[in-house]
Amino acid sequence: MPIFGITASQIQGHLVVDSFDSIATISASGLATATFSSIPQTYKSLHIRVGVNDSNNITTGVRFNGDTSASYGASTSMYITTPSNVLGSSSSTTTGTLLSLAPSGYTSSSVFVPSMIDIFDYTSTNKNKLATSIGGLDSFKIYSSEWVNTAAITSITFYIPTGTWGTGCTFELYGVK
Amino acid sequence: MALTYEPIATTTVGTATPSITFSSIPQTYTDLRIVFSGKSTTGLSSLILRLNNDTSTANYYGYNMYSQSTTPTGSFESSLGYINVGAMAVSLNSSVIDIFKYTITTYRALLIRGSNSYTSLNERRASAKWLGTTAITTVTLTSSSNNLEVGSMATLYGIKAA
Repeated sequence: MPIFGITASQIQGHLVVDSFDSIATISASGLATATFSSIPQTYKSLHIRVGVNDSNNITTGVRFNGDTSASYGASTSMYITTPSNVLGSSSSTTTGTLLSLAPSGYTSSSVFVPSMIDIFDYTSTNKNKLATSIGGLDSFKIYSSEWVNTAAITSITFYIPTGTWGTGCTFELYGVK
Repeated sequence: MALTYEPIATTTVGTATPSITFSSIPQTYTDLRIVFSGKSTTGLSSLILRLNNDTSTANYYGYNMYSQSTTPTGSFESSLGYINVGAMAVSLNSSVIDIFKYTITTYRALLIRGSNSYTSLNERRASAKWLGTTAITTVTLTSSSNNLEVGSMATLYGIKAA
């Protein structure tokens, strides 16, 4: 007897298996900047899976097309800092970074803090771009942000301002048809 | 071309049972994803997740964010001996569980997104970790206090990075 009903969670999880391609993986050990460049313009959206730690326990930032200007627009986040409190923040403009991922929280080379990023309609040339992320380990954070630029996204850069990512850290880029 | 996102196994409950188990999981992927849709036979229950049949209360931790009223709420869970995926009742629970780097033998991180409709629709987002020291070969989804209803279904996917 089937159970009827479907939710957004199901839709997101049951991707059509041959519509999800691995485009590239960056091994980020010893790096402070990691860039996916020449991103194919043949997908509907992009999905990125992140696993990081760093010796300074800081937050990884994300930029599109190398843009370090003030053209990152509204952003909003929900996060847990102490166990029972869910906090939120929002900003109408953000300078120099699109997404701010969950803090690594770990300096150990054997622990990887996960984040998942979705970027929608990245090939469009007539509208701004929106990205969302969720992630955390011993924390949890949801973050959405707008890039106020109509250019197609051809490169995505991850960075940390201090130190480098640890051994085994990875950024994985997938295309969703 | 090898598939990047591949269904490993699907289980649909044919007779009400407490658990769905995926065992002998291939160690050839980068990450795992479990998609669950189901409900419990009677009353309120929780959908709980165990890895490698580990019941140690020292090995599971979760940070949860959920909406069950007008104010989002958070919680920290430890000493349970499992990961709490979310409430489940005679109405639907749908959850997506991502397990990152499941073949390593140190802390394993999970991200959970779920919806359930116990008294009203409740969204849940969470991170969790498992401190077991073996590669993950078995995943078990269990209804904490009664059976999974006939028709409940879970699919295990493997995600393979380039």
